[in-house]
Amino acid sequence: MEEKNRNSFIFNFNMKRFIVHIGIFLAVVGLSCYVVLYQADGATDAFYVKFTSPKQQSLIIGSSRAAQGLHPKVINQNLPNAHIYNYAFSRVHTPYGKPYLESIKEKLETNTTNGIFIVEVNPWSISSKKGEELDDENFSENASYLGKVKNVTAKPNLTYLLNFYGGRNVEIITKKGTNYHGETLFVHDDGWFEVSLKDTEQKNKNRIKSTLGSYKKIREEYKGISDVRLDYLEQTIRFLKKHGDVFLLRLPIDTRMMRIEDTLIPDFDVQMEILANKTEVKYLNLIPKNRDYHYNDGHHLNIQDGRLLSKSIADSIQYYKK
Amino acid sequence: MLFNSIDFAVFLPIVFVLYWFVIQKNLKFQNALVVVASYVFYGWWDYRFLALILFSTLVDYSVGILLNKTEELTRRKLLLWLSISVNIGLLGFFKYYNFFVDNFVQAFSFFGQEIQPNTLNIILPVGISFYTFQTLSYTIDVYRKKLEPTKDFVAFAAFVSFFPQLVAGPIERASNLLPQFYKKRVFNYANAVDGLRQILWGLFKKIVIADNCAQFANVIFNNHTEYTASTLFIGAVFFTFQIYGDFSGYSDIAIGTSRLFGFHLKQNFAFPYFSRDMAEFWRRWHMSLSTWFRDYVYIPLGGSRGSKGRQIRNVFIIFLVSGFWHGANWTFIVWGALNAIYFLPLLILNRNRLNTNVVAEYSMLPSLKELLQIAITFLLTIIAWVFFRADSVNQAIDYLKRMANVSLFSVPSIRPTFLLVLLFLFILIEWAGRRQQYAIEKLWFRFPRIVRLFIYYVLVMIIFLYGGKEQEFIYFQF
Repeated sequence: MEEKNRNSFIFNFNMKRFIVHIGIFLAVVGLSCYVVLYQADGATDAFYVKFTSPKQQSLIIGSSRAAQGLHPKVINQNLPNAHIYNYAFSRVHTPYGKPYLESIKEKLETNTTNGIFIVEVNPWSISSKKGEELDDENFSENASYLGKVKNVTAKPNLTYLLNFYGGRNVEIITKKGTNYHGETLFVHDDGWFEVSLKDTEQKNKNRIKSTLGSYKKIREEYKGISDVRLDYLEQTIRFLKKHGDVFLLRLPIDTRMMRIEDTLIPDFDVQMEILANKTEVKYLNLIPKNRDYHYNDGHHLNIQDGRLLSKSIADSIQYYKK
Repeated sequence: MLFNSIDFAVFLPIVFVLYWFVIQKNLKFQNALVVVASYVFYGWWDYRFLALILFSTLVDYSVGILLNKTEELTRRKLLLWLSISVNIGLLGFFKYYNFFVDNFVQAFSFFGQEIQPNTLNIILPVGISFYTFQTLSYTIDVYRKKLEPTKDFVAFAAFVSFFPQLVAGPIERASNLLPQFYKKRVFNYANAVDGLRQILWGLFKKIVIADNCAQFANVIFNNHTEYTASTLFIGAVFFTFQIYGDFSGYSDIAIGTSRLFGFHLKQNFAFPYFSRDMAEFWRRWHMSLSTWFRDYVYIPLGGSRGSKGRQIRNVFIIFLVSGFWHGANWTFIVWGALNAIYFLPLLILNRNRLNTNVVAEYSMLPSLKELLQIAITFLLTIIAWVFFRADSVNQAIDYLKRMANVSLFSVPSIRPTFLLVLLFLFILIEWAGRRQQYAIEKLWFRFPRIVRLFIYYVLVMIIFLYGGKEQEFIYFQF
């Protein structure tokens, strides 16, 4: 009995010591890691900051074309009280579907009734890939941050950083993340993704040629229009309409890119017109103005032209709101 | 479940608390918890293959019991072959079926006969090569009467599925691990802290060294025709460190985790890249597999007894089988053959047991001769690893051809400074700790405790800050 008590005492003492020591060590480590993660900002990657800002009353949603091309600052200057926020991501992550709609619902201030919503659309955003069987629950982006990060207003957003941040954590502090062409990449507080290039005409031509080449290959991966995605685009519009005015927007792109997209969904603009009529929203199709703008790579507007276009969109919204 | 995942970081403390606090007083319950935890650990990846582990466990447990009941040689042999057939059969089907079918088809097409292959879409169950070898060692030892068969099914199931080493070893012998399940485990502070230290070092090797090297090695190997010889060389060096960091890191985490639960697993890597010849390298690399092959294949074949010709044959068999164990691809077989060729001169000249001690055991630095020997051995392993990493034998040959070029002496186009600095520090630490079971076992013991703690803190922060993109452990596929 005495031996048993002695063993039990030793066990308790040893274990207590172990737990306390480990606890203190892990607490110090945990705190240090938290301090590092707290430094994450717009330089961290192209998406992180969008999951840290507060809930919003007006949103720009769509692909990277909208993320880079639409400047909330310019729109807000021209549309007083809009307070629009750029919550657009990329072709891969935010085609229309349940994950994006759920994320938008999380990002939107629930009691908003007079918001402005720019819903950028393009053929990729309502298409499915070959071999992709979409249904109400099954979306390829379910496994991405869009499907997994449920809290879209946390700072630091640990779910995002621990699961989806692709760089080394040291880069959160040094702000020297992946930089493909010597460009400046930064997501601003209003959600605008700045891609600032040190370009020459030749470099620009080469990049456009290379992107068009990539998209010809990407096109082969796609099947065509998806009824499920189209239905979710409609659901997204109907949801946003409850909270304000919705504008369906197709951004201008290089004409050669448009030809690739025409092979994906030849009657895309007709489909969008039908949808706009059905949901009673305005479809702003800027494809006829393709040649009026310049692009970084054939489909992302350069900063200067993005500003001009944002101003023009704000003017159109102002006009239609009247 | 990956050791370097958040899932495991949650799983481990839960099992630890249940093990030591809730059912600490009952050995049977503790063993049962090990089985349940191990099945959860494995099932996290794919629960369907738990049936395979259970089947293998049932077969070998029953064979052990039956072997104990009979002295009749034919019946005993029959039982042994039953166990071998089941385990090797499972391994053969899941790992090698498609390889054999593909090669069969190719062989026929060579002679102008086209046949329709009937390949299957088989998923390779993680760790199958490890646990089948572990259970086989039990049956063979019982057959050889070196081990008493167990009547405790739960203990046996825990031995087969013990989660720290289930999917990538070390391949434990029943004679070492099984008896530990019969005895009450007592929590020991020093052992637990030592276990954590080894886990820390394992994580450093895996997350900082292996995963960062992988990133660059993958780029270089996947586009090898675009790089100069010096870049190809650095790519091969990165892979050399990747595979070491990956596999020995896993072993360290496995051994350290076992210590947290009061178990002692055997050392699996003993600083192989400081070896002075290939024989020493193979005594220090993946020791649990090398000794398994030695005891259950090499020695039954005659080992180093008999004529030189017979010895050479045995060495070739052992290396080819070892290569094939790693994967159903000719690259692994060539890798094995190449290592056999490296080993042969030492065997013929009776110099294969020349370096059995630790290099520079009583000095801080190696002699010039030792340094040269280490460099040559390291270079030979780099060349062999190219076959191991390449997608095909042709790619490996092309890679090596391009590497043997005058541009080998140019500046590599890929030379990540942070990684080269980390590798340099890593080599220094490994060298300083080469006399221990793992590099940092007692490395900083002469410093006050607070300084030591600070060093561990720095290591954790390096892991956190410089950890590469999470990659699966390479040896999971074997």
